[in-house]
Amino acid sequence: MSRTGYNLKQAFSQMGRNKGMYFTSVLAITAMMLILGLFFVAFVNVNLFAAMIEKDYNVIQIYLVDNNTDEIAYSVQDTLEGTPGVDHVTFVPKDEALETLKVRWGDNGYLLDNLPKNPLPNSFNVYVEDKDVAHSLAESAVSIEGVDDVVYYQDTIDKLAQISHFIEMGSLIAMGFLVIVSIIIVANTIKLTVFNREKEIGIMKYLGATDWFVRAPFIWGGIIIGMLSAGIATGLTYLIYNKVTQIIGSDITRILSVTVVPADYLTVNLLIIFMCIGVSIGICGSIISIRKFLDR
Amino acid sequence: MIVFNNVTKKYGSNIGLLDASVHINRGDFVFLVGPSGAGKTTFIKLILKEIEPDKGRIILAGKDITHIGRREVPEIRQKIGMVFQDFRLLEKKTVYENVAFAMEVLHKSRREIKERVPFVLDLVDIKDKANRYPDELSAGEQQRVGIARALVNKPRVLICDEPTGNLDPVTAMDIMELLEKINIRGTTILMVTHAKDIVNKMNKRVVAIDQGRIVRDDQEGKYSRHSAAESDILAPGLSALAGTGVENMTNDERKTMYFASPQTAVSFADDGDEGDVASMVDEYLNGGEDVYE
Repeated sequence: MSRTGYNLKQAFSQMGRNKGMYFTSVLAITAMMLILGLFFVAFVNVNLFAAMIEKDYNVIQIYLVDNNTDEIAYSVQDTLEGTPGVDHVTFVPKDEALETLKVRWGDNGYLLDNLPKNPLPNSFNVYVEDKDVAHSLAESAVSIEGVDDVVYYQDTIDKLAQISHFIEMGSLIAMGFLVIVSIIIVANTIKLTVFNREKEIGIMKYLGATDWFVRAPFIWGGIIIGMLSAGIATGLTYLIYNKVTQIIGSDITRILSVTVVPADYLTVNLLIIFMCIGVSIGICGSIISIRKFLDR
Repeated sequence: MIVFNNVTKKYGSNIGLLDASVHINRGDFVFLVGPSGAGKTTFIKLILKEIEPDKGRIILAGKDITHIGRREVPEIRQKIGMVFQDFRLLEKKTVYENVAFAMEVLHKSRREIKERVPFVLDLVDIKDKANRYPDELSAGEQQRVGIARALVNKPRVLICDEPTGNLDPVTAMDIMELLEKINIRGTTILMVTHAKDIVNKMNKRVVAIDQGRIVRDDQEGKYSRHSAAESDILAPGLSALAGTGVENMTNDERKTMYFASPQTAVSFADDGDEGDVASMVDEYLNGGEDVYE
């Protein structure tokens, strides 16, 4: 039997002897990973909203009065292009704006079909060189003749960035805390197994077993706990997230004009992250728990 | 095979071993004797690299192991077979599995294990009980398994820590015969013991330690310095042997009885004057008491 095969056999045999403790560990770590998973999906979505809004609105949108003449429209364009700090200006016809909105609404785009009249006005997208220019232009553009409204989302973007940062920090703190607690749980579970095999370990050491040979089955035990927890936690996060997006996903799309991250895509990434965390927790926990015994 | 050159080991202010020098050759059979706390365990722990010496030099199988790294310790221990007083068998493994376990630990192949384990079990005469569990065996049989486990990886040295300590005298002698057989096959044996009878009977090299010092190193030695003039007087308890005429027996007759009925036997040593001892024994026996050393 290969060394890995031997170690895995030993690890499963240990699990069999301490079923209750291993089960409790998996349950506790799963619960922690689930919390982590929910933080993660919230973080990813807010980040995506922020990125999309920032991408869409790093320009100032200048809406024109609906019955403007072409002369007035050209005049507005000239004024905008002549403003210091403006990079370039593009004209967005009202029909094109409607099509763009339909695409963004995705599956709900059909709601914009068959409108009696296009409610969107013609507009200019003004691309500026820096944020300060954008701010002053947004304030002054309202007074230009033929301009109906100016939409500039910097405040929203800043707020979203703050929320995103807050969730990011919260996730990191929660992750740090939960990882430490998980390591302690795994370490205690493995320690119990080590206690049960104390005599065997002593004999192994007298027989000339290397530290890694003694450690390996316990590390595998820890890894199995981590992987099982990761798998279950990912499954549960998927179920919860999927349900939530089914319930409020379309509302978010309609209100914020952005789509939520698809559950399938998120789950694959979450599984990879959880597996890495779970395996690391398992390895750390088991190494900590057996260290003292190896020093004897 | 094992060389101690002026080795000193202290535990704070307590002396474990003091300036000890011993040279154990390949194929030697050496008894390490001495009172409790004399330094025997320190001696063994130093060989097994469980502890580091403060001074001196230790050589095992030609390799200086005085200050080796932690990673080299397993390699050292693989050259040593360890036999314990309490056998230390794994209860949930059969005899075969206990011995095979020692080979699994060293990553030996299945084929090697299948070949070697039955051979060693045969050598220690326990092959017929290969599928039994330790709690189904007598103490002597368990020790045989312990010896088989120690031997299975072909160690250069067998260190036996009171291997007969939990055995009755007859079984103890069986185990000693087995160890002698192993020694004749070329394995160096270092045996820590308090069993005076065994040491005196075996006529092997005796290294005596007292208060951390090597106080004696005799080829074909006895347990104590005056053992040559010593008689082992065996005085079975009166209650157990009443009416056997033990008080009229010679020392040799009493020894015979001792081995025939070990569970009731007691022993003590005297200064060689048989008459004095016999009368002392009589006095105790007549007083209705058992006599202990």
